[in-house]
Amino acid sequence: MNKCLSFFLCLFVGSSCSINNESVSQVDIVVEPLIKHAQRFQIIEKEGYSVISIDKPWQGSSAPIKYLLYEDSLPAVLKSDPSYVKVKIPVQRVVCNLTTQLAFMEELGVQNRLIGFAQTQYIYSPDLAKDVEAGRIREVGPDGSLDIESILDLNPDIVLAFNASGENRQLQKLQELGLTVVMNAGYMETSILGRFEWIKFLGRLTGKYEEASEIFDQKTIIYDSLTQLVVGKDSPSVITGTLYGGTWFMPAGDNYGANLIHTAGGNYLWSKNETSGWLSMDFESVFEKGYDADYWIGAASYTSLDQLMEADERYAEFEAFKNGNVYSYMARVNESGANDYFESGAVNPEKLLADHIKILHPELLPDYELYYYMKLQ
Amino acid sequence: MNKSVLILVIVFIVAFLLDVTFGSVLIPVEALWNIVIGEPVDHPAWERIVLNYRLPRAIAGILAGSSLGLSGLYMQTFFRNPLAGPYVLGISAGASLGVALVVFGESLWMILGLNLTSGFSMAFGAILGSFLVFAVVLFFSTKVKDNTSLLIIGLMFSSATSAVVSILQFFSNPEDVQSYLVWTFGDLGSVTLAELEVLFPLVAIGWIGSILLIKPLNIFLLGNQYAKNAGLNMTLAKYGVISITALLSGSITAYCGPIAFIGLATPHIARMILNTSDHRLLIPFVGLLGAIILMCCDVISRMPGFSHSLPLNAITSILGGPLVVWLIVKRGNISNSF
Repeated sequence: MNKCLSFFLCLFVGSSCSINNESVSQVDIVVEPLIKHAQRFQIIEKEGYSVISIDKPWQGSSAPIKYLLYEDSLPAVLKSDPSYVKVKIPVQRVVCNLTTQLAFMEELGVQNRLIGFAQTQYIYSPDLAKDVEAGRIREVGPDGSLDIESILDLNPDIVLAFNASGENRQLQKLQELGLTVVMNAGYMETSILGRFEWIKFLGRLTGKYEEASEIFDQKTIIYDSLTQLVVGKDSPSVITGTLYGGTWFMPAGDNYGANLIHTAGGNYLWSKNETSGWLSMDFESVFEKGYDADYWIGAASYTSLDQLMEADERYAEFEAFKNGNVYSYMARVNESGANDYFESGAVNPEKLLADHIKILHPELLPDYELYYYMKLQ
Repeated sequence: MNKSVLILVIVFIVAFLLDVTFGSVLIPVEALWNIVIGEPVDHPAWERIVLNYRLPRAIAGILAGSSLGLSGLYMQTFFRNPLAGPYVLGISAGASLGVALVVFGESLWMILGLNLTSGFSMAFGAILGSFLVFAVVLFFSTKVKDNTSLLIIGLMFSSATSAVVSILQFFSNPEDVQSYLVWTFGDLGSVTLAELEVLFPLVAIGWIGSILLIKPLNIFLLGNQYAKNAGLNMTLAKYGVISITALLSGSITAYCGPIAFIGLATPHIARMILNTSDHRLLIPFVGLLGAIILMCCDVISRMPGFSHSLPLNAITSILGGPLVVWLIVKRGNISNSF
């Protein structure tokens, strides 16, 4: 991993140098880094334009992507520079295949710019769901089977997309067809604030950067004060996940989920593995290490202990199950199956953290009620 | 020109027109006409949809349908086996393995403790994978005397590579598995113009090579012994058939995914309609028919007017199966065709 990172770092440093060379007269306006927690993107301010670079736009990508954001017109020297994807901001018509961005848009007050979404049945926000019903937001199909014709018909300013893995042939095709595809790599951030900070990325695109920064700073203050609560407290042991087709996908030690448990004062049992991906394990190895864990947080989409036991009787052997300390993120799910945890969870890092603290150290937040998580009965 | 080939050319043109007329966005006929004659249309996006999206898609359909149909024909004749198709040599399984290594690569390297990012495209993986299997099959073809042994070897390779793919899938995260699964559904719409520029010459070489195969294929039908007596250079003919099949099916699989059934069904349908096994007639007929069937399946899989589409492979099998069964029942049997 380190080798990869330093490789990308070199690439990034190299590329920012070349920007400076091209525009000797143009001075970087902001010296202080704009991005504090997110590691996947950088904003570089220039006179008359800005550059957002994403070091690693998806898992396994070999080259960074650089977006050149301009308001009125492109500087002549950059017009034909192929190393940038040029985006005229603020963008007014957005097609998107990421649930998290819905919450970002609502938070920034630009949800009316969304004209197409991947699978509209998975929209939790009641307001946006109404827009879908009224026909203002069109369904464009899920990742992998995007309805390219409909997207062309909508003619959006940008297609805001994420790429779960490797090469995405449909996104390449959209680019060839002349659409501006803007990749979002927020899901690969390893910290919860890092994920949240991608609101600044959307803020930049939509011309709401100041608002995004303000929201980010405010929520970070609440988040930081919550982290202070658990300092010096004992740390109960935690397991997470469930079997999925015979394999138990356990977050690796530097994964987003693992970091959240750690920040909330939990002892995540696989924290020693320092990669950021997922560990695929079988039942035995999970049971060997986690049979006496105090808490089981994030038991997929199960909503009761009976349901969990019905899926696999061996789950009942865990101490956490016997003591009724099993939690899942199913508290806010609407009738069509849309889960707010995946939507507004991205803009409420303080609520996610508070939920974890409430589970692990209930005495610290006596009046708080679980928001995204529920205790399985 | 044979009457049935003439009818087929007309059907081919109709299928092509259907393929560019229907899609998830419904475009009025007069707008379509205006696009064809170069007049401006009400909605500028329509022009882009028809010319830049549907047209390349239909061309990809023609290339893929005809190539797979022909590969299937060559394999059925070469092995004198009605169950043979473009995939019996294991070429497509090799392509799948290549794609699987690209898609699952990173998680795989992590398990092995290596920090690598592949950065290869799926198409590159597919081409490399099919070429490697092709080389191995070609090597074994020099070792065994009869074609049936080669058929078994090809099938064994297919099974072995599929098994490796399953192991890779088992150790990969659900997103990667999904991504691989989507590739296996087959897709004509994602083929870019740049890819068509590569695909077209490859397929064209296969088509031209097919002309050279007419005579040896007709003799193969009579059996190995007869072929030898006829003074045919068996070894050269064998390599020719294997190479052209690998070229056609391998390049299509690389860019469109492993499209099922066209290769198996088209030659049977062609033989039953023409009632001949003469390759002088079969080759052009199968080429056109494969393209027609695939374009029709593509229109249906797009579900005109809906924003949802169905996997192409599901449609080719759901429609192709009953069609072949119906033809067999109508004809009474199939073995006469060989």
